[in-house]
Amino acid sequence: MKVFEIEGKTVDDATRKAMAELNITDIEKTRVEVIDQGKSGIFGFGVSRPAKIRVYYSDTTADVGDTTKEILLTILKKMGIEGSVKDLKEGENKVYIEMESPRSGLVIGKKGKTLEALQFLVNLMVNHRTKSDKKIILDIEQYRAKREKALRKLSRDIAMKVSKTGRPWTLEPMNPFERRLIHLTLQNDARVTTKSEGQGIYRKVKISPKQ
Amino acid sequence: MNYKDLVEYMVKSLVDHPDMVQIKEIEGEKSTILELKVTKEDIGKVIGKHGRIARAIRTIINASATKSGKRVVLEILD
Repeated sequence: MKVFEIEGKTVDDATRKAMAELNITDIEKTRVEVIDQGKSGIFGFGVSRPAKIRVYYSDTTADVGDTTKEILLTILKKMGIEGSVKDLKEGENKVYIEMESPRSGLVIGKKGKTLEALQFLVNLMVNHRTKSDKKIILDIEQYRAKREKALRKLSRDIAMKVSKTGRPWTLEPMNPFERRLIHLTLQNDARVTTKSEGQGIYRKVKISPKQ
Repeated sequence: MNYKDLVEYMVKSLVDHPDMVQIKEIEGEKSTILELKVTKEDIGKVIGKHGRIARAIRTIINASATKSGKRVVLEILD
């Protein structure tokens, strides 16, 4: 949120000036506070005082979603992959984009590797260009929901196995979001405990029997 | 497939001096090598912490290269 102050002959005049200055077309998207109503001299006599207003506005809300869409579609095109944006939701701190492509497998990659890389780069590019710090989440054909379901099932299956054999089991390396999901799924499981081990991109979740 | 174009677009959107981005494409029989050069101040912006950005760029290149069966290598020069 940014603040802008301006003077005008009247409050209306100052508001008009502010809109022009800030390139804002919709006054509903801003909050205007009147600091001074101003006073006009009657028939040119007396002391006239300009009106003064303060405008609170956000310089990012309008174009982050559009910029994201433009950058994403350009990358896909240059990758030689057909694709389109099926859904775009923009919130205060987030932009969610769902893509559609006949080659969705290629966009997702092994274990979501390509989708992760795409999301990471698009975040950097959009934030660099718009100077916003909104988090961009990319999805394609409900991949994220499906992956979440698969990971929950996997963690429950492994927990069962660990409690039966009494031996710990280490899962493959996962990103922070996926590791967190495993911890959350098993946090109330009385049979096992979970712990992350290793460094950086090789961090893995280890599921051990509870002593 | 124009890998140079793809890398150029991504790198130029990440750095502070897009006009100083240079990419040389060396086409081989089985592989294509892309040599990337940016200004000193921008080199961190294309490599990232623990090479995370460079790795993401390489992942994207590889995804678009799967069809051709060709190996595409990105080298960042300093």
